[in-house]
Amino acid sequence: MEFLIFSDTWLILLIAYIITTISLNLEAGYTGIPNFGKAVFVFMGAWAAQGIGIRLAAWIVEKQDPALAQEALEFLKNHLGQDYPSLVAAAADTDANRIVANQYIYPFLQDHPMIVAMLFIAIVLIAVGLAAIMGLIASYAALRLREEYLAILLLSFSELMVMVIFRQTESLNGGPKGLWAVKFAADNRVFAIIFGLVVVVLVYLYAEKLAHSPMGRAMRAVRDDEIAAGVYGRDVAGIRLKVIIVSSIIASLAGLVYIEANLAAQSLSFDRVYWTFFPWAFLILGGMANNKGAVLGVIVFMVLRRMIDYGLPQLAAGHSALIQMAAAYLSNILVGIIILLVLYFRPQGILPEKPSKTLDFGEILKQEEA
Amino acid sequence: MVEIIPSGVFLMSAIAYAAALGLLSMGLSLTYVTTRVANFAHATIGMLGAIVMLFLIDRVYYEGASYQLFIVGPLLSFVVAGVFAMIMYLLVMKPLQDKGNDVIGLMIATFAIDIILLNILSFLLNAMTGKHLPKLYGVNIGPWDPTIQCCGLELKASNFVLPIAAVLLTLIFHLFLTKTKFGVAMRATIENPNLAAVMGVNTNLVYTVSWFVSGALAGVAGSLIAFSLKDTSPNSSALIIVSVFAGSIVGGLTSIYWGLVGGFIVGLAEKLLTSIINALYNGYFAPALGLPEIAIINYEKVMSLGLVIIVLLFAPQGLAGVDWSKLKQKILRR
Repeated sequence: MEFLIFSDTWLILLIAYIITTISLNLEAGYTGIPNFGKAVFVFMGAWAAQGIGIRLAAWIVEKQDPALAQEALEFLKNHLGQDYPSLVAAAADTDANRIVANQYIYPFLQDHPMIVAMLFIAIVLIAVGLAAIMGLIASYAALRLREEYLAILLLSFSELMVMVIFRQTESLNGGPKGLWAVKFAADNRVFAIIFGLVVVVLVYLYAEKLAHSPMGRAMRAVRDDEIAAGVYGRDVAGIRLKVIIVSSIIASLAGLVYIEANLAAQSLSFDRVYWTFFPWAFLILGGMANNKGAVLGVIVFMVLRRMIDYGLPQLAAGHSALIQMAAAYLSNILVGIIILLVLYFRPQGILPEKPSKTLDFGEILKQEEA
Repeated sequence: MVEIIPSGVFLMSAIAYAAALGLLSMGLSLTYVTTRVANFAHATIGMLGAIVMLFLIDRVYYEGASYQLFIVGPLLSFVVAGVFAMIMYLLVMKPLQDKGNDVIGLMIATFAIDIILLNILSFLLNAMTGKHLPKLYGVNIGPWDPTIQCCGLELKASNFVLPIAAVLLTLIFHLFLTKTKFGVAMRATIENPNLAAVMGVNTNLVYTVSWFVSGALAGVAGSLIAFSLKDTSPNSSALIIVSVFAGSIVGGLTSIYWGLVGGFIVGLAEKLLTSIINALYNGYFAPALGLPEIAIINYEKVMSLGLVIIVLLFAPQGLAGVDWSKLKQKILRR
């Protein structure tokens, strides 16, 4: 499905980015925690559906339908020449993963909607739990370090987790290739779009509610002056801890949406450019500490980028091979230049931060009377 | 029987890698102490040096290993990377700073420059190389590294030149800082920019020069480390930057010399410690306890992050913040 120049792939990426950017806004915009390791939190959602989810699904198949599992193992023995002890082991193996997922697990799940529903809930819970644990680890540093140190540490942390550990350790997520994720519906892209839109609406409403609540004001106080916030009795460490964990959980949902749409993705696709720098870029373009700005930033940026990606090859078509090659690289270069221009001409973003909405004084009096 | 003590050749390559990281961390600390910019593009600026090497090999030295390459290459990288870093400061960082962007805004800007530079370099490599040799994108250029017979070992020239270059550059930089008038002005600016400006120091010039030096050091390191990378492409910077930041944080981010030391320590830890642990685990513990073999050698970046965490926990100011004389007294008193 393709409308104008925007494809469903683009739409899914847009949704995943909106979720990530709103979560980054809670941290960086409202609370002033420079999270440069967003990629790893997004990846946790993907991993819950990939490395963990596919094992879980294989285990369920083994329990519910031993005959099918036996058939799958026989098939693998005949075709790959490998003897797997169980379907779980086969599903987690890079060679057999694709066959097991596509030929046995997906058809089985399609016939059992109840199991799919439970599996879906389980995987969302796993994603949330993993992200919360990661957030807890990150918050240990975030409570103690100055912003530059924290930014560097989180960047290194996410590069280390995604690029080193998940790439090298094949048993975790299939190494460089990545495992196939669990498929929840026959048309996984439509499912991902619907699920993603629901998450976007919920997360947006939550973030708006949070921003205008006393907690939101406390978050801004922590950002603007930590010492003053502490003096006035705000629990600075507690606020930071909560914000990091909540926004990590939100970010993991973005990873879940993304992986559900693509099913198979390399661990490396969750790198610092696409899942850390881009959300920061959207946020700076749209405006920090403004949820509308965060969403607007993603939309403006993604439309611009799509137009660049679509327009440049058309402009270059018919020219020499060198110019065509330049067009492929120019897209990312233009993205970088746009960020620099925004930082120079409008550092506060398209929609700058606004004073938070509070109750009208008259209304408060009315409420007290009543 | 598994060798636990690493071989001489490996030791030399580890020292060379550590020296390169030392140079890179020193440059990173330099721009941080002068202009408060934590430069995420630093490793990619270093890769400019590697790209200069690739171009030299493609255009001039395509016939094979040559010692001349090791003089021309680093020198050219010194200038190219230095000029790039200087232009980056004058064209982007300084205007942004004057506009009043905070630390995080500047970090994002360096991130943006990182992406721009990465793509320009990838394009250049893809489009411009391949005149005499097949395309040199993501190729191991080890064959252009001549072998030197020394002390009964076959050492690679780049492993030899890197530590020497690091020592030489540090010495020259140290003399520049202490013996020349401009060097003294530079130290004064690092200590107290306002006071230095009142005393007639042109702080803008100092900042510009510090960016040039930072880029130049990175360029030399990058040009020589290019030979030991598995595939020499600009994307290698993604993992190098982690080690460089680790080195700077271990050093404390506030001191140039400690940055050098920090980078060196991180480099040695990454190469040597991982290989020793690897040999110990796979040679003794795994067979004895019946555990599966793990290629720990692939997880060298875990070591650098581990070091960073240890340093941040026990000495948040890094090695530069440790009161060495007090520490010495404490140890002696026991």
